[in-house]
Amino acid sequence: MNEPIIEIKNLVREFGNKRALDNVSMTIQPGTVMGLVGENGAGKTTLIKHVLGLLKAQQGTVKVFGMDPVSNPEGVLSKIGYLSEEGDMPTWMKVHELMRYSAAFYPTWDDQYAMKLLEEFKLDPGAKLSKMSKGQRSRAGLLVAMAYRPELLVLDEPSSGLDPIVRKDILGAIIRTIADDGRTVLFSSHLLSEVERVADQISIVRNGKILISDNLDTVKESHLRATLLFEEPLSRHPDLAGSLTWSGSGKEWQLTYCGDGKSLDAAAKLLGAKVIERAGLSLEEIFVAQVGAA
Amino acid sequence: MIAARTLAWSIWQRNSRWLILIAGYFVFYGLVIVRLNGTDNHPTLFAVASVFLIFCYLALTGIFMYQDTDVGVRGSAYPTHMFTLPLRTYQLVFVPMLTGTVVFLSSGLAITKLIHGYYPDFPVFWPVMLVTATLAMLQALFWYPLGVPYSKLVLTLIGLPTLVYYVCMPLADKVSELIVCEYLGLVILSCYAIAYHGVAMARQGKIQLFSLKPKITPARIHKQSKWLKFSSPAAAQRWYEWRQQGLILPCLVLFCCSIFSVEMFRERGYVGPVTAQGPNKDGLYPMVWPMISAYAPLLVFLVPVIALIVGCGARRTDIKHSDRTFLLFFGARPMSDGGLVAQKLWMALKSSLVAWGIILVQFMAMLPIRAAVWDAKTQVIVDQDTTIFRMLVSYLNPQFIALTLSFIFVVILLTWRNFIIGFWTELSGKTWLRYGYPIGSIALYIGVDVFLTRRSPGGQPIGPNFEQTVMIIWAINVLRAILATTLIWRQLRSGVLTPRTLLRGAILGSLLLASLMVAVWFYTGSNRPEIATIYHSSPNFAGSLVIGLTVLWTPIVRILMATEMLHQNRHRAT
Repeated sequence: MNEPIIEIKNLVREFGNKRALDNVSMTIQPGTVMGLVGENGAGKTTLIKHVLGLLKAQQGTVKVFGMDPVSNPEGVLSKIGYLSEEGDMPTWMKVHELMRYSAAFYPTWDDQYAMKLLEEFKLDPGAKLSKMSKGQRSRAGLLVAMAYRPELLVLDEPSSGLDPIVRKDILGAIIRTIADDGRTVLFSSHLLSEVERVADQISIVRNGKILISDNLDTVKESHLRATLLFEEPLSRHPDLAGSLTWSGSGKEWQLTYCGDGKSLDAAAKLLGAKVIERAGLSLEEIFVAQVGAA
Repeated sequence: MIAARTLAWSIWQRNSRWLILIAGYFVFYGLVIVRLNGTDNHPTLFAVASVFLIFCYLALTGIFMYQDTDVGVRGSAYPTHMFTLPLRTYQLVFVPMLTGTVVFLSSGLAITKLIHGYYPDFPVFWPVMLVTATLAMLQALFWYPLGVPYSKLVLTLIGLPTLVYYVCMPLADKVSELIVCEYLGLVILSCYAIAYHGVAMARQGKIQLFSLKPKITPARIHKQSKWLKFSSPAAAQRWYEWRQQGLILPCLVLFCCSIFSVEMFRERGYVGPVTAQGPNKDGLYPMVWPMISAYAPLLVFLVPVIALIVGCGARRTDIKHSDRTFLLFFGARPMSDGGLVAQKLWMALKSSLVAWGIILVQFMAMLPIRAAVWDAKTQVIVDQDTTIFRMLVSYLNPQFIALTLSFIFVVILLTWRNFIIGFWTELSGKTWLRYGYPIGSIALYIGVDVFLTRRSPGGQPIGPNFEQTVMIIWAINVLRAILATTLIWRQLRSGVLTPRTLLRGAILGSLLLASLMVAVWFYTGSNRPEIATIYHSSPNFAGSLVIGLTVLWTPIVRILMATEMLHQNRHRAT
């Protein structure tokens, strides 16, 4: 196996009394599109900031391209394309100045590709960032994050609060990055349908902990919704290992379940019930079930 | 009344800490005046306390202007979120304006009345009306949706001196204070009307945009992209720093020069002789127009002072207001912490050089101006038809040139040093440090001054003598050297500083320090024996004082602290 692009081991980060990241471990292999999902304040941005070296690990280690991003920011950041929800770009710059400035930092900057993106995103090169809409600013940020074909593209809630057209541009950028050999993407988003479209691995973060981190197909295969029919009416749902959420009353109860179908059948049998209906879950449903259960 | 209370409450809620601090300072200032009791015993204390009083009024101006936007903004600087409040436009405009006017008038009158009680010559009304009119003018200028970028800044730079000029001139011509106050009252009322009209326009989204620059097309960008490329990431970062922070110093110097130029060419007649540089080889002294005699030294003095004010934080930063961390754009630059600080230092040098370049151009413009020559022996003006250039030529000799060049070298370095003085506090992201550092420094200087000039009840000096003072300076230098070594060791260990960067920095720093030493040694050559004589000491101690002060003056610890603070804040290590 190749050396991982990102390797995080037992990462702990506290802000005052609040533990923002609690013993987080994660490995991202080259060519992976990793979707990071979680509620607001779950710790996604904190995790991404550690990857960028903008936060130093209090405990544990963070390696990006095999290097420590804090002690070697030049080595790490020159291979990363980064776009955040906040934008945080110097608004006094014009688009062409932003391009010229950014180009100097990346030896792999591709002028032709930058011009192509400029036209594709319909950006006015003479426009000042402060005078542009949020969507246009995101496009400008995406342009400078993509134009040097970075080995790792990090997008932190890039499509939050943006219209569908800009979101489509951002998704297109991720897909293009995947199409380039060996490129890796780490992106966090609330829009789980987007994550589901492009990610091949997901990590669900809650209260600074990774609840699930696996291949998207494996995650989807290991979650299901089922209806159980009991022989006798129940006043409350029974305890069942792997169950995430319950609803229903009397003899018929619906649950979301983490595990395979066979183990559910066996467990239901032990409780004196049988599975009368089962269906797969979307990523959004899995997220709601996991986060609601945790 | 509900609207007035709501808006006044929102001003209080947003700025309560500052307002309490300012009110506290007003009380402190009053106590200083009472303590001085009409005497001139502590001119430094009075001057420093008054400077802080000006800072208080500047802070109050910022509060009542709702100023949280870029000065280059083309629309109205009135906060747009307030346009959605269910209030009439006149309420939005007049409540903050009236509140500001009342605060300025009441606090100002209380202060001037108190001063007037101890110093009867001090005027009571017109200074208060002037600062109130200044506030109203700035509110009108910044809230009006002018469509030209930086027009607010330009109009402020023109408007304020004009306002002051048209107050001071009538007063100098013995026009009564009442008439001047009436004139300022009219200015205030006009500003209220302009501000109302401007905010009403801005609330309806009316703004006339102007752009004189040609449209930049993708094809033009593509054409330019080859020859406009930066040679290296460092060059790009230097450009960024220059645009971000470097322009302010030259712009302010240019403004001062333009104001002085107008005044300079208005004057006629000669004053002098100017004796600072001594007679020329024929024993003749120059005489120049009064404004040149007054402003030329003032300009030279002003540049390092402006650099000091800018260096203490009066500039655009990369720190976010919300959590005092770096803008992600800046923090995520693929450049080492040392590299980022180095580009800031280069930008400061370029800014200082450009500022002095402007002064040089200003002085060049003075060369053809007429001057006179005064004979020390006969005590008469022997030539009224010469020029400053011709007069200077008569002084040209190797020593004069060397002295001038040494002086220029020292003042450029002084400007640079003042510019970078606050980098470390700014980069720390700690608000208390950023604002506390200049205040603490001034307090420290006053404390040192008081310590060195202590006198017994009998009037005898009881502070340290000359030799002890020199030794204290060297002891501080030793402490600084220990601190610098600790920081270097720490940064080498953490990888913030590489041995190569350290070597390059050490070579460059040593060369600069050596050049500075030579320049200062040369420049103070004739003064050192005098110092020794005045303090009944040996020339060796005078030499030690000069070298010690030069070493003390170098900002090596501050530069190392800047790298340390940038590292801490960029990676939020704790």
